[in-house]
Amino acid sequence: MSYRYSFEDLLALLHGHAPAKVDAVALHRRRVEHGHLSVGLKIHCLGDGSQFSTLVEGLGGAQKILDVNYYKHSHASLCLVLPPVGSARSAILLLECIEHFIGSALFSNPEIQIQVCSPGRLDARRSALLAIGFYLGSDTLRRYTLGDLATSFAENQHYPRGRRLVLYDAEGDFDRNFDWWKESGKHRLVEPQLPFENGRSDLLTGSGSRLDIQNINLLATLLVHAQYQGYWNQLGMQFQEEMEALLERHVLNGLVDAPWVRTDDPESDDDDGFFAALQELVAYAFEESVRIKKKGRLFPGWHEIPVRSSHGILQEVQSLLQKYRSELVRQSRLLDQGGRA
Amino acid sequence: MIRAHQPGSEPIDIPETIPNPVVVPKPTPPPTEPAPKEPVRIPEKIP
Repeated sequence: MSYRYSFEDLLALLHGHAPAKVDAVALHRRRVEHGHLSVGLKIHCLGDGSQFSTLVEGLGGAQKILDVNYYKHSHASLCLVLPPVGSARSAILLLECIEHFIGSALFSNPEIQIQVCSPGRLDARRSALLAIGFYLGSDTLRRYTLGDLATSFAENQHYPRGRRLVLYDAEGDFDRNFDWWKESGKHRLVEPQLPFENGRSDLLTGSGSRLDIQNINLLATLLVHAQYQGYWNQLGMQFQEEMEALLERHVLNGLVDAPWVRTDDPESDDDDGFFAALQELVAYAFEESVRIKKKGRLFPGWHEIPVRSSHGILQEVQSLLQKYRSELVRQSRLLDQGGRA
Repeated sequence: MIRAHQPGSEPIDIPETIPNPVVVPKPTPPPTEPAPKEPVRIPEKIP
């Protein structure tokens, strides 16, 4: 990720507008929480980007920090790449600091698209689970057109990424200096560096929220650890099985076979195949939301009544994310107390 | 029967985004920084 300015310069600029939050980010920038993955962010501005002009000038000007980055959403006037931080908490704080500085909202703003970057390239199947988990777990259900997912790298000659929710990196700069929890026999080994020289799985959230950043960080942590044998390998595999079983119960398991990410495999060059799967997911989620609302009108205590035989896919995904979020923290705290998780 | 696409009927409203009905919205923290601490007042010495 090219950003061509120092993190310290960014914080110094933001400090005048949000001193307490900037101090917290500075203090915890590299702190990894419970073995989660580090978090990178890109902000795509679909408006004219004028609210960012003072910030961009303060960091060295558009030529230095924006034009160097060829990648951006195809409808965006600018793409601001932020330095990666150790946790979702720090990432959210950093965005809040920028909100203070520019004086307008970054979260849940239709003019702002947030891209959440996680270290490690997930394989096709896990990329599908990342995208589906993000979509169903978000606090907003979105409809898309394929054009919404177009970036300047969609048809790139060297790094064609297609029009997808999940995008691989283009082998740019990569900051490895974050802790990686590794399993060594029965013990946890904390490596000072990520095991990837390069490689990320990014998710284009669209208009994103704090919850989206937390969910993507949790999902990516479980799936990347499952794929690269990290400390949370077992938990990640278990999550993957449960997520696939959940999709099977709703007869949506076929969606996982669609090309959710453009890989080196030429068969993944199929935007329409991906979009058909995404539309099926979107239709299912919207239909369920209508059903829940109807239940809500008929019965005031709708949340106590199953939507159908199960609690419905939206509720099930919320429960699944909550379960793994709690379990990961519980096991991590056990480790801190000296026990084996 | 009036259908949604007939003249004079309600326009079909298909929202692009809707809130996920099962997510309980958390109150968004106000975009304010905590006020600077007031200086500690040292009581004057009583003679």
